[in-house]
Amino acid sequence: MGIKILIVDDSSIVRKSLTKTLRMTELDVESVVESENGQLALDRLNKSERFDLIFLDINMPVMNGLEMLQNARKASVLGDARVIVVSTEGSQIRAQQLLELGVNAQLRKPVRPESLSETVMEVMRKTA
Amino acid sequence: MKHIEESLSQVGNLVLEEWAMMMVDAAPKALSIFELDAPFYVSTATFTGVFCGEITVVCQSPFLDCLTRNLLSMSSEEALDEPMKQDSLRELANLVSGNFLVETYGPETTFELPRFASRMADRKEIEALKPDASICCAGDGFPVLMGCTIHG
Repeated sequence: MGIKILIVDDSSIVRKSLTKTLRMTELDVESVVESENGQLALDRLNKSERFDLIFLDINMPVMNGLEMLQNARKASVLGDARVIVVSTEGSQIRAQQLLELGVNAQLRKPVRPESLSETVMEVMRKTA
Repeated sequence: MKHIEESLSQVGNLVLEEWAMMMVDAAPKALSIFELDAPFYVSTATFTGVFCGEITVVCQSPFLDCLTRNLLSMSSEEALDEPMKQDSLRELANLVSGNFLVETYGPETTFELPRFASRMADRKEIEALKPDASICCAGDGFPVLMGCTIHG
């Protein structure tokens, strides 16, 4: 069985290019689902949809990535999902907040495809 | 404002080269690099924190077409729609502003980037834009202007 991926980013261009890159990695991808903000992603999780890997942007309208993660942790709906934050965020305080919320890796945009691929493989290996 | 222009230039080059996969060349800091009678696209990213301000990206259709095709690995025969182009521009402003803030004020400073707005504009509106600092360059030969205004 392949892995189920959720991509949460308000840019459809980012979601599409991330999907393309992921499909070129060694990952056995079963499905990629996209959400355009934190609230829509949270709605999916609240409806018991489960994912193995979540890519999360931070600056999004309606509900940002940090709030989404806090709500998902509070409601215990993340399951065993690994979370990789991909955003333009570079502040140490934000990085610490994300670590405390159990984020597995943080990447700052722009992300090279090779770097994304390496991080994904490392996160999936570590938690396998 | 020199250090702001240096940061903008560094970040603009990084984003256009690494993310947009464009060849970046220097361009004169003047509106004459654009086709002045053709429509402009403007995207503004507002930031708040220790300082408040905005990053503005100005370009025209040939630049946006090229950017969007590069990002989606699309050929020149495939049609592009307007929302796709606007999305590329918003994300460009997002990347430039996020990286600019870290580059300029360091990782110990936290900013919020709550608002992004994209719109089309004409020559008059572009001429009325007066950012505190700005840089111009060309991505794959097409001009783009990046500006920064700090409100304090």
